[in-house]
Amino acid sequence: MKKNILKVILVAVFALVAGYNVYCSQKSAVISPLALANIEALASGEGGGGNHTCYDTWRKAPDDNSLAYWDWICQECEAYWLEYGRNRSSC
Amino acid sequence: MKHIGWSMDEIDLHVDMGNFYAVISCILSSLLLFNGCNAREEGKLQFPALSELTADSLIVPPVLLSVTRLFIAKDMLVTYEQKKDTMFSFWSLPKCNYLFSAGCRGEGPDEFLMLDRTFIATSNGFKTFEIASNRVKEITVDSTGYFKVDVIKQLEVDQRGLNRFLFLLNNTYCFVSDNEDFEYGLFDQNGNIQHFSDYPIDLLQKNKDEINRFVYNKLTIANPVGDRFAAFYAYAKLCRIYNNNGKLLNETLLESSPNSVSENRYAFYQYYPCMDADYIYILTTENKRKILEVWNWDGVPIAHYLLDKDIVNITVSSNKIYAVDNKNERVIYTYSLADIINKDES
Repeated sequence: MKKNILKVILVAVFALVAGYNVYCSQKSAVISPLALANIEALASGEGGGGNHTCYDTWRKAPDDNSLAYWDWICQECEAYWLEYGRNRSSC
Repeated sequence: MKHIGWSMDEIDLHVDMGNFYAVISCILSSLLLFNGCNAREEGKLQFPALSELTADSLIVPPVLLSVTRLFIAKDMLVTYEQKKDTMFSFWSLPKCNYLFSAGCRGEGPDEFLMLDRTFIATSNGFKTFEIASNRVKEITVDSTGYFKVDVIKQLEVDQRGLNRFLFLLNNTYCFVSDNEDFEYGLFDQNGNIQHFSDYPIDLLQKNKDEINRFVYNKLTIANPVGDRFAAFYAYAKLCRIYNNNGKLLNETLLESSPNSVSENRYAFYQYYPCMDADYIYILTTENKRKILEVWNWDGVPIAHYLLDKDIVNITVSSNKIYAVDNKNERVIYTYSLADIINKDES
C-alpha cells in the first residue's frame, strides 16, 4: 500500500517538474515589444525576407509601366515591378 | 340562339390557357429581369463626338529624366521619378518654374523604400504608400524647400505588395487583392481586411495558368473625399465605380476585345488617371494618337479629346491638365479644360 502511495507521489512530482519546465520554456519564448518591433523592421526591408507569394514565371516591367505590380519573383525572393507573373509559389 | 357566355369546359380551357400564359409571362419576365441584372451592356453609353485639344508648351530646366508620376501638392506641380536618387521635383504653378528636388531612396528618416505610385494632396503636402514596407507616409513640404517625412501608419497585413493603393474615407485603404476570387482588399480602421468585387470573368479569354489580377489588370483612382473610387480595366474599355465600402455602384463597358489572349491583348488604358472633385481624366490610344477621356464619378463618359502630343503622364489643377511625354525632357505641356466645364454647365 505504502509502495503504491510512493509511486503515485513520484509520478505526481515528475509531472509537476516536467510541466514547470515546459511552462518556463514557453515563457522564455515571449519576445519583448521592442525586440518584436526590431524584427519587424528588419523583415520589412525592401523586397527581402519573410514568407512571400512569388511567381516562378514572370516578366519585369519598365519603370514607367503603370500597369506593373510590385511582386516577388521566386528565384531571387526579391520584389520587382512585374508586367506579368505566373505559376505562384512562396519564398 | 346565339350562345352567350362560356360553358364550363370553355371556362376551364380559358382558365388553363390563362395559367399557361401567366406562367410563360412569368418565365419570360424573370429571364428578362435576370438578363437585365447580369448582362454587361456594351456600347450603351458612348462619348459625344471627338474634339481636339492643343497643348501649350512650357520650357523647363533639364531636370526631368523619366517621370513616373505627376501630381499636385501645396499649389506645386510635383514630378516623381522612380529611377532618380532624388525622386521628387517641385514646380510652382501655373508657370511651372522649377523650385527644388527632395526625397531620396533609403531607410533614413526622410527617405523612402519603393513607393506605390499613389500620391494624395494633404493640407501640409502629400501622403503616399511605401509598398516595400506597408507604411503610410505623410510628407510636409512647402515652396521654400522644407521637406519632412513622417510614418503615420504601419499596416499589419499578411499580403505584401499592396498594389494600386487607395486612400479612402475614414482612414480605410483599398488595394488590388492577390486572391483569385476577389479583385480588391479593403483595410478598415480596425485592421480587418475584407475582400470584395468579382472579376468580370466573362469579359476576356484567359489561359489556364494566368492569374486573374494580371488578366483583369486595372488602374484605380479615388475621388478627393475618398467615398468613391473608379477602376479602368486595361484590356477592355470597362469602368467600374465603387463606394468606400466596396459596393459596386456602376459599370460602363464601352468596348472589349474578347478574342485577344495573353500578351497579345490590346491595352486600352495603360496610363495612370488623374482626378478632381467632378471628373476622372484618363489617357487612351487610338491609331497611335493619344486621346484624353473625361468621366464623371457616376461612371458616365462625358467628353473625349484628341491630343496633339504623345503624352504619357497627366495631372490636373484648376481646370488645366499638366502633362509630360517620354521624349522631351525640357517640356511640360498644359491643356485647358475650360471647354469641358462650360459644356457640362450648359
